[in-house]
Amino acid sequence: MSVALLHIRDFRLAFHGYDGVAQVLNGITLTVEAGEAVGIVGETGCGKSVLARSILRLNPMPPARVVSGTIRFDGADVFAMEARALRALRGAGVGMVFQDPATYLNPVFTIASQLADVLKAHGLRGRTAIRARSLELLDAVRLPNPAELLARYPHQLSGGQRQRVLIAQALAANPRLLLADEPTTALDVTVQGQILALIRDLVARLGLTLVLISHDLGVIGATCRRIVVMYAGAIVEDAPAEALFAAPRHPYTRGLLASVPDLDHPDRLPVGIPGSIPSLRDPPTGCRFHPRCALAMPVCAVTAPPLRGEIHRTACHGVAA
Amino acid sequence: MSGIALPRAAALRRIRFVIWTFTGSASALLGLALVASFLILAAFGGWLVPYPDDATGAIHLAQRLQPPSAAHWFGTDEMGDDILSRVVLGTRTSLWVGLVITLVASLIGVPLGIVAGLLGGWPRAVIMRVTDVFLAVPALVLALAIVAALGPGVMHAVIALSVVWWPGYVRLIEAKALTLRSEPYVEVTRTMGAGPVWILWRHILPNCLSPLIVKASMDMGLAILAVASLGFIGLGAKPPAPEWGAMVSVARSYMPDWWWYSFFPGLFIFLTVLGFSLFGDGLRDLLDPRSARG
Amino acid sequence: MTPILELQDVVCSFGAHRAVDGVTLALQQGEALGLVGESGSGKTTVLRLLLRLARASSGTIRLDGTDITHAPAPALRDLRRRVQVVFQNPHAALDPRCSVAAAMAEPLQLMGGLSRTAIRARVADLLDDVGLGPDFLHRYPHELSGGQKQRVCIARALAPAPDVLLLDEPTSALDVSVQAQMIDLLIRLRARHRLSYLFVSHNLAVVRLLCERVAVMRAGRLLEQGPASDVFAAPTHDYTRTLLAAVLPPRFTQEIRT
Repeated sequence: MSVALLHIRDFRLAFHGYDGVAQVLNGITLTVEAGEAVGIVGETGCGKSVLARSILRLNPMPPARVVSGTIRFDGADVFAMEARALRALRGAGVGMVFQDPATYLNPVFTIASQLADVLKAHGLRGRTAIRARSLELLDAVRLPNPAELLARYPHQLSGGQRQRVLIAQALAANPRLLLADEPTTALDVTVQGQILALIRDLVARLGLTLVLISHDLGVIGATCRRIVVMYAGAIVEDAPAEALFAAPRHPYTRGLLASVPDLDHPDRLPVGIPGSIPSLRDPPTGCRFHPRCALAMPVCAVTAPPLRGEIHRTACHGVAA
Repeated sequence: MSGIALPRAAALRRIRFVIWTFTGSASALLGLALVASFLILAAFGGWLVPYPDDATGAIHLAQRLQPPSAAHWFGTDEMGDDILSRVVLGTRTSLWVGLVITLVASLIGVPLGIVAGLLGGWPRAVIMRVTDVFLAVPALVLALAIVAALGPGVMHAVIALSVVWWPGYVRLIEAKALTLRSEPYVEVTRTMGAGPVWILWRHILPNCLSPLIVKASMDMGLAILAVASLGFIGLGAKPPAPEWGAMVSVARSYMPDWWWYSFFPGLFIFLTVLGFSLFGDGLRDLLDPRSARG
Repeated sequence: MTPILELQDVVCSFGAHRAVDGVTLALQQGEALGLVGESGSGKTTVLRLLLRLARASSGTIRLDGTDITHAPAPALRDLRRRVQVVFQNPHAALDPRCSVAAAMAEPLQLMGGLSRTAIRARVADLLDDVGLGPDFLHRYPHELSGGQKQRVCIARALAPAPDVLLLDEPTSALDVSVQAQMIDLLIRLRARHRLSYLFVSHNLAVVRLLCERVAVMRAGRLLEQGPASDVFAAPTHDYTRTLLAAVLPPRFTQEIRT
C-alpha cells in the first residue's frame, strides 16, 4: 500500500493564554498525495498559517499544545521525530517559503553566504560545490546574472528578487513538498504574477508537491488544482479547484466567493458575510460558522458537521454527502 | 450587552492578564514579591522590628557582635545594636533615595527627550550631544566628584546622583518620541489641525508612560545600589544612620569572623536591586498594550 | 466648476529621488477618483502632499481654488476641516491608549465651538452611521477587529463634516468578507454625505467598483487618466495594460497541464 506524502489526521492544536485556551486547529483531516498542488484558503485567524507551521513543527510549544491527532510526512509522525529527523524534514522533506521576503533574509550577509548556510546545514561540503549548487539554484528560480547576484546584500534586491532567493533556499535540499505561506502577499501585483508562474513552473519541472496558503482566491486559482477552505480552525470544504469555483457547496465558501470584487463584472457588488470571525477562545457551539450562516438550522448550533464526501468534501449539515 | 457591562468585562480581562503575566513568569512573581516586601518593610518596619531604638544609634556594649540568635536574628554589631532592626529600618532610607533620584532624573530627562524627539533640528543636536557627554563619563565617577565637592552626606549623594542620572531618560524618551511622531495615528491628528502641544499631551506622553515606568522601576534598584556604593566609600550616609552601604562599609573590618554584620545588609541590597529589576521586566510585558490583545 | 482639490505640475523630491514628478490632477466636487499604481509609484506621496504632510518642491496645490502649497499652518484651517484621511492600516491609525469615544471626539474638540454634550451626541450618531452600536464607545483599539477599527477610522474622518475623504488603501489590510462590507459602507456614506473620494489603491477591482474616474501612476509620473470605464476597457498606456493583466480573478485560471 502506498503512503500519502502528507497525512494529517484529526489534528487539534490549542494555544494557552491568560484568557484561557484557544482551540486554533479543531480536528483537521487532510491527505496530500505526491504530485498534488493544494491551496489552503481562509481569512485571518482561520488557522491556515498555524497548520502550515505545524507540518514543520514550527509553532512554539508552549504556548501551543497538540491536543490530539497526528501529522505524518511520508509515513513518519512529525511530532514524534527526534531532532535529527526533524532537521531532515525541514528542508530535505519540506521546503518552506514565507510571506515577507524582506524579513526572512538576514540584512548583514550576502546572498552567497545565506545560500551556503542552508547548503552546509544539509551536508554539502566544499567551496566549489557550494558555489556551483548556489548558481544552479538561482538559475532554477530564473534570476538573471546569478554570479553577480551572489555577492549582493538583501537590500540591494527588489522584493520579487528576494522572494526568488527565498524560494531558491527552500529548494536547496531538494524537498519533496514545497510549502508556501502567502508567498506573494507582500509583493506588487505585477511581480505576484511572475512569482506564481515561477512556482507553477518549478512544481512541474521538479515534480514537487505544492501546498500554497493564501487569503486570496485569485492566487489559489492561478496555482492550485485542489482547494481547501478553512474557517475558525476547521476545514469546511475541500474540492478540485474547478468544482469549487463553479459550484461551491459550503455557505462560507459561497460567501467568500461572493465577497471578492471581480474586475470582469464591475456591475456586481461584492456581498460580504455579515458578522465577524468568532473568538477561538469561546467558539460557537456546533458548526463554528452557524451564527453567520443564513441557512443555519437548529442542528447546526448543536453538533459540528463532519467533513463528508469523497472528492468534493464538505462539512455542512445542509449539504447532502 | 449594556454600555456599563462592557468596561467591567474589559477590566476583568485586564486583571486576569495581570495575574497571568506575573504568575506565568517565576521571575516576575519573585520581583513582585521582593518589591512588595520592600515596600511593606519601609512602611511598617518601625512597628515590626524588635529594637527600633537601635536604628538611631543606641549603645549596648554588653551585647556587641553577637552571632544570629533567637533574640537577634541577624546578630548584633559592634555597638551591640540589633542588625535586623537596623537593616529593616534602612529600607526607608533606600526607598526615599531611590524615589527622589528616579523622580528628579525623569523630571530633567523626559522634557529634554521630548524636545529633542519632537523638534529635531538643532535643539535635538544640542541636547543629544550634551547627553552623550554625560553618558561618556561613568555616572558613579561623576557623582563621586560632585559629592566630593559638596561634602559627604546622604542628601548630597542623592543630589549628585540625580544630577548624573537623567541622560538615560533623554535617550529613552527621544527614541520613543521619534517613532511616535511618525505613527499614523499622530499623522491623522495632525491632518485634523492639531498643534504640537495637543499632540504631545494627547498622544506622545501617554504612549511614553509605560517605557518610562519600566525604566524607573529598574532604576529604583540601581539608584539604591549607587547610594549604597557612595555610603560604602564613606561619601553617603554616615553611621549611625541605618544605611546599608554605610553598614557594609563599617562591617568590612569585622570580616570574616563576624560575617553576619556585613552579610545581612549586603543581602538586602542584593534582594532589593534584584527585586526591582525583575519587577521592571514583568511590568514591561504587562504595559505593552499589544500584548494585552484579547 | 472649480475642482475641490487640484495639483498643478507638482514635484516632490526627497534628496535626489523624485517621488512625485510633475503631476497635474484634479478632484471634482462629488466625484470619486481612483489613483492606482504599485509600490513606489508616488500615489501615497500625492495623498500626503494634499494633506500637507509632505511639502511640494515645486508646483501648486489648490483647495477649492485657493493656493495652499505654502500656506502657513493657521491658514490651513479650511483644509483641516474639509479634507479628511483614512489610512491603510487601521491597527496603526488609532492610538492604543485612546478609547473609541476619545478618538472620535478628537477632531470635534480640535474644531472647537461644540459643547461636551453636543460632541457626545455627534460621536454616537457617527458611530451609528458606520454600523457600530453605542457599546463600542468605551472599547479600546485592541478589543476591536480590523474591520471595526477601520469603521472607527472612517467615522472619525467624517466627524468634522468634510467635503473630501482621502482614502489610502482603506480595504487592503482587511479580510475579503470584511472588505466587501467596507466597500458597501463607502458607497453608502458617499451618497449620504455628498462626499468626494480620492481613493488610492493597488487593487483595480475595488477601484472599479468605487470610482468613476481613474488615474494611473508609475515612478512618480501620471501615465493616464480618464473615466474608469474607458481606462479599464481600453487602456492607452502599456503599463496600464500590464497592470490590468496582472489582476487575478477569483476563478480557476491555471492552464491545464498533462
